Amino acid sequence: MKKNHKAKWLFPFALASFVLLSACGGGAKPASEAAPAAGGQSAQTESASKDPIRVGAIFSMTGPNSPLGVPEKQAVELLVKELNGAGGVDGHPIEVIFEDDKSDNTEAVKAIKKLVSKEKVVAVLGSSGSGPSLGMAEFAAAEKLPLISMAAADQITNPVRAGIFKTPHTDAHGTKRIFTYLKEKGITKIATLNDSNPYGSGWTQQLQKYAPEYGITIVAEEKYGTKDPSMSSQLTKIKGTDAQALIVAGTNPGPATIVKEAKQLNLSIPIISSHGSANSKFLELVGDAGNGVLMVAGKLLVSDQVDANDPQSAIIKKFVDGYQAAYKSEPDGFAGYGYDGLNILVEGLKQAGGDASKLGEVLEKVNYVGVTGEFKFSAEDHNGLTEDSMIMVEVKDGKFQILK
Amino acid sequence: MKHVIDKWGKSILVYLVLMIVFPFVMPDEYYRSVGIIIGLQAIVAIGLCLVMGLAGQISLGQAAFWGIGAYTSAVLTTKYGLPVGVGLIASAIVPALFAFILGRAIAGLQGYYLAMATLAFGYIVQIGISEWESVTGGASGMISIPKITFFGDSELSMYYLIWGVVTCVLLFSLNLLHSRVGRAFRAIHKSEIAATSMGIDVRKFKLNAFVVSGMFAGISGGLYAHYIGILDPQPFGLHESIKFLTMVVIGGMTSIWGALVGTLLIGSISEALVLMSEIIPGLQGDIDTIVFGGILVLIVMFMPEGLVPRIRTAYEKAQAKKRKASAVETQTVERKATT
Repeated sequence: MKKNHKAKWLFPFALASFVLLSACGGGAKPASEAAPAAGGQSAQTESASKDPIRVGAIFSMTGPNSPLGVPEKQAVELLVKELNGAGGVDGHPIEVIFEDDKSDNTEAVKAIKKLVSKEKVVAVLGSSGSGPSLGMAEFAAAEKLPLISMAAADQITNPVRAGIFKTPHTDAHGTKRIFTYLKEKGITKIATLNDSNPYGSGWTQQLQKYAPEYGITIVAEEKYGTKDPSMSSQLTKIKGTDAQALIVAGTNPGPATIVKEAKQLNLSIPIISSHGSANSKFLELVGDAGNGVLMVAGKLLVSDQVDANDPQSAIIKKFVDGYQAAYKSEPDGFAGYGYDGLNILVEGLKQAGGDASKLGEVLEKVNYVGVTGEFKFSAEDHNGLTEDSMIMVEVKDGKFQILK
Repeated sequence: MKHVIDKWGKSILVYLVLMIVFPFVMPDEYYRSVGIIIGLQAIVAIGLCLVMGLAGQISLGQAAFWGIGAYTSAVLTTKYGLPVGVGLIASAIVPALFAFILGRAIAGLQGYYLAMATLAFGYIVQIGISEWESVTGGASGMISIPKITFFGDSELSMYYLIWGVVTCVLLFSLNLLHSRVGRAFRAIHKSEIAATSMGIDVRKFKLNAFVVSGMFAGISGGLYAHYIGILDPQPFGLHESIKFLTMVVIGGMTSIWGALVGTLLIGSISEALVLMSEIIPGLQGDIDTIVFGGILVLIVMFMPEGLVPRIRTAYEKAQAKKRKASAVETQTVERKATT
């Protein structure tokens, strides 16, 4: 019995020493693991067609951002097939390793660390939401890992950090485009009703910032909670002001609810909604009440109405046709962000001649015509878009009509 | 060494060994960061365990204290340029103050009412963080929060820093459990009326437990902010509070070890599911929430005292049986010797 007792005591120590031993082995292990990788690199120069280029992609496949993440992933998958079918980048096939951040900041940071340490990726795409993207950018900037985000927040690329890029239009672009339109129409007094989430509050800041520049006064500034079932109290307040137009920034279903309730309250001023709600879901939600609503959006939204002389028309047509064939649905703006993200990365890889360490610098010089807009990256601008690539559309009988 | 073991049992040795060797068993950087996140959650769970298991209170607002801690340190260091150490100290004090005020206000509440009050507190804090834009950056949050560098900023040094804090918190709580204060807590947990009649100031003890748990959550929050480098209000909601609650309930509310084991279990299941989802694609996404829910239901139905107390009882029973057997054996030996 006594012996038995002793043995039990020995156990943790035996375990500890065993583990420590394996730890010493563990120290050597990365080296042995690195060896084939290094071998692979040298093989790259010899037989270029074999090694895949490993790219990480973190999208929100579940959680509140999943309506963004799912089309983004689909677009990237589509493009990977297309690229590899055409021989990849200089003969290297592209391999994309997907991770789901569950719309959660901590999960996103864990995911990017995993992609770097376990999967040894050369660059990362994502994520869909602003919070997760900012967390990932923090890590990527420290590790000098190129990152192309599909999230809206201006903070991702402002201030500019080495290697951190993003593809969507920012709230600043949308704001400027709307204000240009209002100026044309001679409207000077506006009301705003924005979501209180990061997307809406980003818009609120930009609207405030650029209003004086365009000679516009914000006479009422209201907000609503993402899950609020009714915004009629805010709309009643706005009705009592002398605003000539109402700007709404949020993601569905909020803006659709606002449009419907405004109609019930006989609010007669024009409503302009942001690109966050510019998709077919919005049309479905508003129904007949949507007639006459204006929206700011990328050209992809009205892919069939894009002028044939437009530089973007070719790539938009190719993307829409490919996406429809693969998924039997219309691609929305988010799918476009993902598609452009990987295309920009591939452009960078081509220019860097397959040298991933140069990728961060090379991406700064990329000029690329995408489905979202014409990207012109520079050392000062890691978004590369201007408000000119956005258009104003009007909802007419359940369809988006481009405003000339 | 003997003294330490006598005081806290052999578990502490096993814990220390496992904790120290883990980063070398898993030499992958990724598992170190998983270890760090689990450690951060363990600090909160141990604090929550003091409130729930020992003082018999429920808190559905623990993520709020976590958030207050995170934002306190982040704002002080990022906006006002104070050193990270100062930020971390403040991240322990400020949530404790909040817990004190909240505890004073709701000290008379019990059961459902207490749950509702802490739930409301959680919401107020999350909304407060989103709305106080000039300080917290609102919904878009804060970026570029400085890293903790006094140990070096590698994943490994961060791991030991976090688990060093976990160890301190653990030892403090175990010590508390074995003291007069701990006995008073357990008396309150069993019956507040009986405890009062024994001369225990129930209100004061409950308040203390609340303040300590708020402080632990705050420390963890401060460390989280500097580790992740960005903050927005998303992680500090009800979802996270419930996750902490689940950890404590699964491990066993009445045992400090339970909180730790519960946290480890939830963390490992998450990782196991991620690994399995690479083989079975159907397991992707929110499946972990379903699994945790299922485990919670099973635990509450079949093991309401939680894992650790149940295992301990089983172990003690087995020991008692053995002792009996050995007693019989020695008796027979003695008898033989005499004859």
